[in-house]
Amino acid sequence: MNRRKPAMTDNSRRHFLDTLGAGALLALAPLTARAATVNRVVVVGGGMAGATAAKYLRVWSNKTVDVTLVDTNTSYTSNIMSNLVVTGQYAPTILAYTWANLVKNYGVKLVNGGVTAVEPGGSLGPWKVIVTKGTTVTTLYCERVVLAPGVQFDPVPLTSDPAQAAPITHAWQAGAQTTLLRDRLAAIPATGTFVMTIPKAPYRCPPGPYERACVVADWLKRNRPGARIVVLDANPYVMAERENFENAFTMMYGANLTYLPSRVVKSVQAAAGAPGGTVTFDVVDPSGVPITTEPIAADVLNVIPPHRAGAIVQTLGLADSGGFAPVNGATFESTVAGKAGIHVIGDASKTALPKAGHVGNQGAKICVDAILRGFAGQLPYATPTANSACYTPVNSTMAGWLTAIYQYQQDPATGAWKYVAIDQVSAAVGATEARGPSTDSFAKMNTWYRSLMTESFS
Amino acid sequence: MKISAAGIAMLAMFATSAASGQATVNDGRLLASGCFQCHGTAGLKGGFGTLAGVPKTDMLNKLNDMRRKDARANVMYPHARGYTTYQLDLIASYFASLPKP
Repeated sequence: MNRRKPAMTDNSRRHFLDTLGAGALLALAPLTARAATVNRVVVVGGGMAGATAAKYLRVWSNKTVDVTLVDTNTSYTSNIMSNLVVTGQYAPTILAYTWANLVKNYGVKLVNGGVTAVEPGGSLGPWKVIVTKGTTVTTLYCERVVLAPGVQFDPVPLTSDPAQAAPITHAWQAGAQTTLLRDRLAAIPATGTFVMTIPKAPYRCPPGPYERACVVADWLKRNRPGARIVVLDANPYVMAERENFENAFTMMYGANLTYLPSRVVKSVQAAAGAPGGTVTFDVVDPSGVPITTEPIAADVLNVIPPHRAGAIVQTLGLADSGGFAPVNGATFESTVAGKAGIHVIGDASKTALPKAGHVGNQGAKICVDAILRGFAGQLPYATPTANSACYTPVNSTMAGWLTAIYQYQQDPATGAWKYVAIDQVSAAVGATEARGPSTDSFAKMNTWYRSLMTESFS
Repeated sequence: MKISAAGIAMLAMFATSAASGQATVNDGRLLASGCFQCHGTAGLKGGFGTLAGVPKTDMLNKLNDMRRKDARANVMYPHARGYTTYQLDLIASYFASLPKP
């Protein structure tokens, strides 16, 4: 539990300000509201965004803000690079991170447990965060709450009994499912079928499913040339790095990869523990209206269900009907009435930014800067920028890349503020992808990954 | 006016708060923090080269050169082209203000 410094009374503050004189009063005026206390922030979730937020709240406040990071796990497993663990190219250990360096280097406090409530804190602080671990309950009072719970997956109906949820191996939250899918791929029959399904956007990591399709096809091509991967995409076309992936699909993997857009999963028939099953899907027209319904049998089934913001965002009523939390893009503070002081960052938030680790790291820094300015009685920086950059393997030796610089700006027509990727030289809108994959980009991918993880976790 | 011992203690407290408050007033740092993922926290110890302490003119010359290149040829070119010249100036000023390692 945090201890607060004794509050400065109005009389003592007035006396103190008198002694400083008018000039000093002017300079310090914005600080008086907070100067009497140590500001406290509780960060919930220690993934890419949450870890970065905890780090920068300490670094950029010169360690004057008290920061507690809460996570249900005792370590973090990176989703980035996990597709190369699925193919067995990299060991799972490259995905393993902890928060030990945030504790050691910056004095972040760690609490292990699940957040069961975030409520007004009364006289002890604007908010209280209740963390439960077994029978232990920890109550953390704070000025600001930063939620970074990531995503949770929607249940997929079981074909034989749609009232029940089918067992799903998505491997889209790295961990036990990543190595499970790896083992199932390794055991696929010589002429087997690997079926992967992609949910409608927005989902975590826009190029990620297409990257997985490619590296799995590459593995099949080299190890099971008679087998293939079938990709059922709920979207009408490849959602990121379209040229790169469409070229790879047709020119590199024609025999081992079948890409089928506008296929929306309806139900799945599968048994717990079995690698395969049958997917029933709708073929939809461009407006999403089903045209026909078809089944496909899989020896290895990899269904990535639609997802939404993590449970705590839903519990607190911070999500909209799309399942993610609308926020002010300059602060990442919730725009839901009555939730001022609660920020949602990373994949759980709803902005025009992609849901991905690199940009989650940047969103966290924008949020932190706004919180610290607020503690100092200043307004947030009105027009922040966020960047997304990632390298995406198409096989075991070559990768492409995707990048975008997003400006937070106001649409002159509608007045709405949003992040827009604009090339300031050509005025072209949208992300930029590499002009083809290369071995050089594959090498840089490894450097990028290590850099990004160090920046977020150390 | 006499300043009490408590007042001096508070003065110290305010000084700390003021210092941390000052540290948050840094638009260049916020914009430049988008470089940290690849070039390291505060431009140090990243995998793609140190930016801390790079003279402002050198950095701006490099970035302006990148702005004239084909965006798809190098991951840095879209970065140079994606910020306004005003933003690039703030970013370069920030890194130039840091001590060279």
